[in-house]
Amino acid sequence: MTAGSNDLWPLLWQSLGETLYMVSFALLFGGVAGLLLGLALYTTRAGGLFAHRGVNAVLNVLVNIVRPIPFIIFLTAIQPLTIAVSGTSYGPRSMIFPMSLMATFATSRLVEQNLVSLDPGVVEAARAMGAGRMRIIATVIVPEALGPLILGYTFLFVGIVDMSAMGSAVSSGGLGSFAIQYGYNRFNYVVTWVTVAVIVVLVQLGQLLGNTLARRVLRR
Amino acid sequence: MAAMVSLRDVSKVYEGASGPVRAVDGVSLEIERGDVFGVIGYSGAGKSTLVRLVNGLETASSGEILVDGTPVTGRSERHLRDVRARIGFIFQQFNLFSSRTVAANIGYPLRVARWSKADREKRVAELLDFVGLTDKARQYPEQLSGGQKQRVGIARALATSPSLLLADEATSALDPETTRDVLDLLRRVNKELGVTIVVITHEMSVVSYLCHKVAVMEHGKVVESGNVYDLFAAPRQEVTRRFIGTALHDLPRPDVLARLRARHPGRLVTVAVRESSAPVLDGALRAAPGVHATVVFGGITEVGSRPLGSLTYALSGDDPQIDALLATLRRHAEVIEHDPRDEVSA
Repeated sequence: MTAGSNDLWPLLWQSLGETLYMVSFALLFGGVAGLLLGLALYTTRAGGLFAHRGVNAVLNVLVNIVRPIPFIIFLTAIQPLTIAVSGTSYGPRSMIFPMSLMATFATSRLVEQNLVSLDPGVVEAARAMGAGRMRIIATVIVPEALGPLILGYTFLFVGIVDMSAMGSAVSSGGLGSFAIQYGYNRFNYVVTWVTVAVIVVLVQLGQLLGNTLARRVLRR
Repeated sequence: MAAMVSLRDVSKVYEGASGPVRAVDGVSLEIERGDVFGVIGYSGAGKSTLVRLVNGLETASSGEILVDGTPVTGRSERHLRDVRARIGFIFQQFNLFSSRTVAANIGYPLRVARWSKADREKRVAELLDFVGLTDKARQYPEQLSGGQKQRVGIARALATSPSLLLADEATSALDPETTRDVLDLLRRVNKELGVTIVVITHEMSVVSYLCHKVAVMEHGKVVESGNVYDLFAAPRQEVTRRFIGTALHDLPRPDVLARLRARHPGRLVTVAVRESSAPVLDGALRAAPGVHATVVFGGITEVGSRPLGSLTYALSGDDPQIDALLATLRRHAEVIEHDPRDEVSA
């Protein structure tokens, strides 16, 4: 794979590294924050451990406002905030904040949906044994929903890889930028296709890991 | 000594879609230490809400609830946690933690109570032995049958040695044979461990097998309560009679009577069998001159370990002699004569 006299392979591997860097931090920050926000959405629902109509309504509106914004627009819209937080407006590091933020909102709904299908009886059982609410969240709600949660996070991983490619709009680096810059802009389809292949392999590996973990947790 | 559970004019009102719903309406009950107390009612009668008021899973709208002399009403969530930790609770759907093994399910309340690992393991082993599931310790709930799951539920509820156990439709999801096993286990819990048990059910057979005392609930109110045998022997409310009918099946319904009359020419009478009347009935029937008595319907069962039921006889012979026999029987038991024409009996 070449462009003129340049060998593009080293650049591809570097771009893969940048993508992995962006995706793993966004998955970590967005995953943790999304879990907390999702738990907040779930527990403040009517009949929940921290049932509170007002808080629940505010959180719902917040999530509903942010989530439908196309990521490429969200990315550019919050750029002043990104610069303030990460000190830079370009490169892989500049992507972690907006990706984490968007991932947080996406994850929160995923988490909430998985928890809603949890049998409320197990929560009642823990309450009947005198367990505190924070303990119930940590030792009953999350463990009981762990299998579906892992599958949800696997789904999220694919979405975050997708988000990382949008960074080409703000010179973020990573596989998306690489494919646009050396493939699309130079009419070199081979570069684009090879990049696609790398992304497909990356996503497959992530999916395989998620499925395996979920199967182990669900014991089937 | 104070009652184990004491409810004074307790009500629970929900805000329903079409105005307030009085799920529990002015209930007063005293449940004595060591009792097995049944609360029976159709679904929606408020019995599940009532039992959740006792351990503070639901908050009463008004009235006062004392458990072991300690008020439950008007307490903070933190205080209620301590109350709940001292009351066992078992559920219709078992509500076991699917992410934990049988042993870890039973050990959960001990973790909540901050027991050390060694103490927890020792106690879990005792409980597994008590409910006969020692070989299932490392298995997960989905690998167990319904009856085994409820045994785990009972062991988990007993982990912290509570003096009160609340059972909410504990056998309603089980088949009859497994139901009997679980009821026998609950009997042992009461007899061997001295635990007071409150049994919520819609099955009168559960009450007759297990309970000493019973309260019948309808529309959020306790309509009748008392000793199980006395209530079965002399129910005052229609709803109670219907529940007893489901447990005994001893009284012939009108269609059954019509068939009996077609088959047997004589007079049909139903005689109530009670602990007091059972020994004298046979003698009186056998000694009656010129009257031939045939048992054609009925049933006798044990309620609170005492005989109860009724027998329907076809009596043939001369009318004066039959009348004399009926007069004798009426001195010992309640007797109903079924007449083919209502105007004759009137």
